[in-house]
Amino acid sequence: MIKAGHISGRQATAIMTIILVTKLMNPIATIIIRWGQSAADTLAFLSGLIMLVLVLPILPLVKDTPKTLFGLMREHFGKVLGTVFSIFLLITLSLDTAVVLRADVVQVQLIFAPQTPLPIIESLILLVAVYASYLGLEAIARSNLIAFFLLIVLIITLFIITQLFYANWMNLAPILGPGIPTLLTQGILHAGFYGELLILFNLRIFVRDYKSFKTSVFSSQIISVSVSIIAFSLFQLVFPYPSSGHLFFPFIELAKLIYFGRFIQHIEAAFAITWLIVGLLRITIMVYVLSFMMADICNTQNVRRFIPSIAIFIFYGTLIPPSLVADVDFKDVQLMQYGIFVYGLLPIAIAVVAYLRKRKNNKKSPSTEPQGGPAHVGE
Amino acid sequence: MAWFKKAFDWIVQLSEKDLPYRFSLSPEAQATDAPTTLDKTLSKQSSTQPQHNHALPKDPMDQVKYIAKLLHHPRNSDILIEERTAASGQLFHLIYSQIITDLIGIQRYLLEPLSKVSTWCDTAQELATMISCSGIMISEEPDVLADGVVEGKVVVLLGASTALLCPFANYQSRNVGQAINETVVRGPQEGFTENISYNMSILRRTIGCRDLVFDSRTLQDVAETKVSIAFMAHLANPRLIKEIHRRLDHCDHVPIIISGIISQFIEDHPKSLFPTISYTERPDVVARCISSGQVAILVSNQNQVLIMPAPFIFQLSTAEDLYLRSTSANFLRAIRFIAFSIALLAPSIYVGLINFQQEMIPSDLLLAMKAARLNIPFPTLVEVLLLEVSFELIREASIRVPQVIGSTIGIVGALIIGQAAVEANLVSPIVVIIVSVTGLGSFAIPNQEIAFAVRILRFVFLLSSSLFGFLGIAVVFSMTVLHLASIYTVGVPYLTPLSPYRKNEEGFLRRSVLTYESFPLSFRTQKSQAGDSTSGSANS
Repeated sequence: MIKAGHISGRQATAIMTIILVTKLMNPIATIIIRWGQSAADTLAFLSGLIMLVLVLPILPLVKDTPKTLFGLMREHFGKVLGTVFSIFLLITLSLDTAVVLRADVVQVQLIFAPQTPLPIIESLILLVAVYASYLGLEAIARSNLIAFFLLIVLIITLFIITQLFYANWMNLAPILGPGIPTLLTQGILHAGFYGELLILFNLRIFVRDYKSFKTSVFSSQIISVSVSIIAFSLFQLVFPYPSSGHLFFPFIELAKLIYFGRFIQHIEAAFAITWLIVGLLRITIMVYVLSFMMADICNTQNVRRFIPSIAIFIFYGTLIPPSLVADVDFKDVQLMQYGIFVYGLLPIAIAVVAYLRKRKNNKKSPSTEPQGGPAHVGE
Repeated sequence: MAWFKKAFDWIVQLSEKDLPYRFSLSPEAQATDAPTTLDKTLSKQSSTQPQHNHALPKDPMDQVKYIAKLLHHPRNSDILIEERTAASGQLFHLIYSQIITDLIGIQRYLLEPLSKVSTWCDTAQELATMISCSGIMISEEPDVLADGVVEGKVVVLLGASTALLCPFANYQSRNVGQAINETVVRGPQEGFTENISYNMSILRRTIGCRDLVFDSRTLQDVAETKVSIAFMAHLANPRLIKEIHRRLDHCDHVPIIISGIISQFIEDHPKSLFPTISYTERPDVVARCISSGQVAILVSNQNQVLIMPAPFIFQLSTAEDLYLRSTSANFLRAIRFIAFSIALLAPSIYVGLINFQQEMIPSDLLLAMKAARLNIPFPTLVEVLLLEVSFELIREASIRVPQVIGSTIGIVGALIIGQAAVEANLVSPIVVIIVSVTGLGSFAIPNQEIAFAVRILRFVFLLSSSLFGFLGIAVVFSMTVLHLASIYTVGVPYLTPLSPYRKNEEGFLRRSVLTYESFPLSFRTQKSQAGDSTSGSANS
């Protein structure tokens, strides 16, 4: 088992929240606005709820024996099938990281350095990610806890200021957007917006105890979904649909509106720099987790040796989409709408197999092991 | 006295020729002395015989000669050898250093009683009962006797197999003074001195608790630096004490005098820009730290006491914080935080704004700034660097020059920066303001070592900002935070209690003293581990 330190439940919550919430602040958020229309907040709620329901069945499986998600899959699907699924998840998450990084990079280029080529900005961001990954998960988790507070302050400040001056409650209508059936369907298809929740199961072995882990799963999802609902609602109050559907950088557009008199204006860069710091940490976590998953698949203890290769893989993956539109479409269609049928159903499949094996063992145990407990199913 | 000295020299020279020594010198004495015939003989013997395990010679004069040799007498001018005859006719030899002993005390409590001894003493024990002097030691080891002289004791040789060591140490040290580098408006004004005994006594006076322990030891460097680990026995984590001892073990046997650099030997990350051990010259601060479970290390010849664990937030607090009302203290802390941010980021933000984010600058101000920069031949980075380097030069010069002309340097510097540079079109006025405010910000940082880190990082931020604007600032800032999150102070995470978050501990803001009910969990004190919250302590 690979283990390099401990993180607290609070730190795990911060990690997951940052992973999920930072997506609201880059062009990926437009996916939810596009399908949810004026009810983007409801769609975000449904997607979050469905993702939580999908991962809940495997929660009890990591109670007594702390295992990674891959460990669980190898245990219940067998080594070959478990490894195949693990590789699939690794590739999916790598692509997801590349896609989100591309969205981040384009936004960074737009705000901070319009004349700087994308690969240079990517290299800088990945440099931070590689450095942080080398420092280890404990350092990343501690930084994330600080960034978490920064993120909350940023969001609250931004929304309070914009709502005070620009909110129009009439913009909320129609409340159910495209209608209940469409929302439900899209809620299932876009549950992958919160798909990174599965990452937390790969960090299970780092969290001190099951109670902290369970709390972090629920609290991170609740915080993320709540922030999403509030963010989409408030965004809707300022930019009503269909105007919001045409904005590629909703967070920046919101920040652009802020000015105080003649002397404080165009302060979107000030907000964006805070987002960027949090966004950098998000990429950092993703690079570390991917390296950790790779090490787990290769059954080795050394995470560090995979960090450069993962970073280079993401670097090239980020350059593949020809445009930001293609990037967001790939995230929407391939990773969310198609991918959910695999990684969304995986936890349920693990839970079902685990249940069947347990039942089978319980039946066998009186005859095969009269004096012992249930047979240990392990790697 | 001169004739006595000459006679003694002659005896010593004579003894170097043909005296049959049957004991060896310590390696230190051999190393520092000139290679004489005697040394050759001694070193030859020392290779075959175990060292530091030889009794005094039988002959009284041999005893004196040997101790004198160990102390490099007569070359060592402060060592005095006196011969006294008692009322009984017995001859005593006294050896001591006249610069570190209380000469009046020796006269009153040692020489006068010795002259009145009317019975012949065969052993040092017998003599000890006749002298009204406390703390007398008896030893037969020449090395111990010689070391005793250096420590301010008077060696009394009476021709027996053992000798007396009477403590009359009276080291010269400066008077109790103010804590020069940590002045406060409210609170005690006294500071530590270079005398470790005084420092220990002042701490003992400040903390009137029998659980205060001074765990002292002598390091094996050339100066035999004395250190004392001060902690509360019922509070401090025993593992922490053990760890400190382990680290001190590692800095033993260092062939240099280490009193000034001991913190660099024992800190967790000596290569990091940020200090992981704090220091103070104020007894009240040390007392406060010790009573919240931290550990202090007092070092001889140092007027600054080391404190550990010392998390980042702790190092940004000042001695005065606790003496002020919490609102006032928090106001000052906020000012300090702003100062810290300005000192770190102001020049880089300016460069980022001018080069990359001009739309953020209000139009009127932007026009004024552009107009001011019209005649300046340098890019913004060079302009800022020019002033920053000048400012660093002035700062360094004002520290190095004598105090009398220190203020002149300030005035000259201000003239150069403020007026001449602007008039010569080398820099724009706004840059002068930015660099001045940055300088003020760095002066407001209470910890000098953190201020140094900020000064160095400021240049890193400046360069990254000139290359990538705010993106560069964000990148360096993230890496700095990650670095801070990865380091420890004696096993305690450096960013605690912010991250790992400890809600019951004092973080950036000072809490009301009424809420000081528990001991800091971060320091893993015995009380905090036991969950005792009955007896409170301030953790500033």
